[in-house]
Amino acid sequence: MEKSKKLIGVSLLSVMVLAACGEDSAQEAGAGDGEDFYDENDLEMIVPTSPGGGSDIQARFMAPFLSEHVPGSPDVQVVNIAGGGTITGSNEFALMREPDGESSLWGSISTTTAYLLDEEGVEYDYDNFTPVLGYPDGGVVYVSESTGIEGPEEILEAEEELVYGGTSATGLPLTILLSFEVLGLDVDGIFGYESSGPARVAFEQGETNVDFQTTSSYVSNVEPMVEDGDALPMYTIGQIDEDGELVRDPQFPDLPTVKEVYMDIYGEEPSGEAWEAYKAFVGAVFTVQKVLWVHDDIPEEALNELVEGAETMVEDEEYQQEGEEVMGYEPFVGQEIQEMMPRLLDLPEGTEDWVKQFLNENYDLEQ
Amino acid sequence: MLETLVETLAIVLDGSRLLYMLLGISIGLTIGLLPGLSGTVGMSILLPFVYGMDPYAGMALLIGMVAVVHTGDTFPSVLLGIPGSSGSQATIMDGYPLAKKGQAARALGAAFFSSMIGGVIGGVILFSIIPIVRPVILSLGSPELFMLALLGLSMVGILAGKSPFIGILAGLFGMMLGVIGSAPSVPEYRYTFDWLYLYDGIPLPLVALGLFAFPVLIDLLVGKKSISESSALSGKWFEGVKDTVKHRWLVLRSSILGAVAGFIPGLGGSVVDWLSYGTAKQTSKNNETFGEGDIRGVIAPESSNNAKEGGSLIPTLMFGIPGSGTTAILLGGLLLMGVEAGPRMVTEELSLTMSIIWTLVIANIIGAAACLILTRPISRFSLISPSKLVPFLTIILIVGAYQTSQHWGDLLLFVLLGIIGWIMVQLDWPRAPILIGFVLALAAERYLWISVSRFDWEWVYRPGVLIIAGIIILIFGSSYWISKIGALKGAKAKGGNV
Repeated sequence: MEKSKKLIGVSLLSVMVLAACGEDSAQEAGAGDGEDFYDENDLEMIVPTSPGGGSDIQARFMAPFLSEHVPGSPDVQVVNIAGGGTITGSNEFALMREPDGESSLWGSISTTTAYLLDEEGVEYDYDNFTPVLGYPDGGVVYVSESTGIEGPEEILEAEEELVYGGTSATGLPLTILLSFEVLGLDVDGIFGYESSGPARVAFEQGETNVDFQTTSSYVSNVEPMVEDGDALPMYTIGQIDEDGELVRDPQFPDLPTVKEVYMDIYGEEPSGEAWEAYKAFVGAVFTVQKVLWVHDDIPEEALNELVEGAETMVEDEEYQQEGEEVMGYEPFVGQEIQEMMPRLLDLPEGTEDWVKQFLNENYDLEQ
Repeated sequence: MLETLVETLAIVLDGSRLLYMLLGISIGLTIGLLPGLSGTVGMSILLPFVYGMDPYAGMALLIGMVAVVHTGDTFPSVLLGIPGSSGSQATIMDGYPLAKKGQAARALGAAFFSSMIGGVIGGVILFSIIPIVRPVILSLGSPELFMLALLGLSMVGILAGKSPFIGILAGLFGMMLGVIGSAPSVPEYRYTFDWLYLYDGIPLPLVALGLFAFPVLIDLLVGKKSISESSALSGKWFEGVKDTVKHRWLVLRSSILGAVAGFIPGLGGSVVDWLSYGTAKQTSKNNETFGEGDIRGVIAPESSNNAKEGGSLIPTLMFGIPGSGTTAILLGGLLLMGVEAGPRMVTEELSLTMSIIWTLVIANIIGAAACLILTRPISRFSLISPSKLVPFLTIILIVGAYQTSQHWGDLLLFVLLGIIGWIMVQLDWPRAPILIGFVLALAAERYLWISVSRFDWEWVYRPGVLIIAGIIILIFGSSYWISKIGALKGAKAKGGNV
């Protein structure tokens, strides 16, 4: 009986832990001197995916650092609102949260793609948001050794039909499909894989022979294959610099970009609508991929303190060191990202229509 | 590899890590005990805490929790007829009737003991499969995965019991529910009625709670009787342990089935209890007592649902592809501790993988032991009069339903599916086929789509596909045959064996 009492005690304790986790864990008494906005206020960070994904992990990693560095040390609470391919949570942030400086949105690639292609259900508008902090992402397109391709310049000379597998033509694979179009590469696209993990396994099985993985997954899962000679990297997705040019990915300084591969093959710079569309999408969904957004009409002191907090946070040595693996790239903060985002999100005239038509013609998608 | 295994035991049993494991176990048991909360919830609760922990301690906490969810979830399944999590629904089929006969303690004893054995076997399988895991996973292409989904769907025939036609209809209805939301391969939404809530489809816990928990609430209220029809608790948990030992081969078979089902990414993990129950029913002698309180109907699903966790860690750790919501969060947890899942888990990070296996085994033993000790006090639940129990249960169930996506749609669907479930109970229609259809609909569609768009129809001739097709035909054939024989036997020995 003594033992069971103890065990009941333990279970009660865990119930209490559960209950405590449901609420803000440590409500700080707002006894500040009233100088800082966040003395009296806390910050909610909405993550529009379920817990555990890449962008959720980043938000959870960042939260305690942000709390430490924003003047007034607000509680920074990560809240997952999953659904509709990040649309649900983003809508909820846009429509249901007051612009009082107490909530923010950690948007991801799907949030931006859905916005750019004006997908069903999108009710948020980036024009009404202000970015505080943003992180790039990148990745590598690679082929199987079975294709007989020995280097990027031979990519058009595969010995077998090229087959690429991905989730859905309008998701993350869109930019990759555009890169094939730029290179004039004839690739059979197979869609329906649950995420890029199973797509990578399909590559290993030989079900597909061209694949793309984002940086962290490439490093941990594909590089071993490259070392064994089973896979060969072709090009990186690249980044768009201040002048709107495609440049090499800082994580893969030795791998060429699509532009370099094109120049190697065709002897001239790429041009045309496919090229413009590719650059536009690389800029909008890779060069800055994860963004911490707030409403653009939050109190000015709130925005200033958030920016100040983010700026000191990214200088924090502990944050830099431990964040290397979780974040991967160097962030853009404050003024810098506020100037960048409108430029990156502004698709050239006609690009949206061209991309929709491209999807329609090649992948039978009525957008 | 063995050397590392032994060395790792010392790491796992190190003071603070052992404490984390115990904390994980107590949280896991509690989550299992509360209907509607699953391992996914436990993971999301623990995730923020693992940041900055050393990977061994963090994994002790997370794996300790996951390992025992399907041990603790047996309490409500047996005592109340309400699934403690979506992994223990099949336990209701025979566990609840046993509780009604006053043998709750026996059913629980058998359940916990077989959970323990199942969990340990799952850990052993995880360990022994490491050297051959790559070729095995790589031999399962989309066509084979599609056939495996069909194999799972063929269980509908067995679980339908006396009314195969209605069972198949129920299975189809489940598949219809399963296709609600975004299509797997094209950006299209089906049957969402422009309601954003439905864009991601109906959450599985809602279907389980609605179909199986809601009807119980109504029956408790209408019947005004406590669950146990006899007033005394006659059974002892030790009897259940003896039952388990008696049916040791069933335990072994079900555990292997569970581990294999967990191991196949994206399939069946959440219906493994039903698969195991169906197979046990199919392959046991004198199976006409299944559904009326046969202890084998408790042992089979309980062995497999704990073994599943060991199996499902294989693709998660070694390929970085999560098979379930729980393992998806586990991947995130690993990343927070600076470990990236992938092939390196069995080379550079081998000792971490070994510590996970140890945690799985130890947690299963401790968790089952704790539950066995708690059996007597908790069994008394089945003696409580419903007027006292129902309000409490209603609140837990509503909270459980609402936490699936924290949208009012959860509550609406819970009641709607509950009414459907209640009507089916009244008509004595099988509900399990709905669940199987629901879970496997998208997987079947996804892999069929990929197979056809990749290989046209040539995939039909792949050897793996033909082998699985043979198994499916065997199952159908034998279920027809057995039901014929069973009918003959049943007519001869009417009411003989209870």
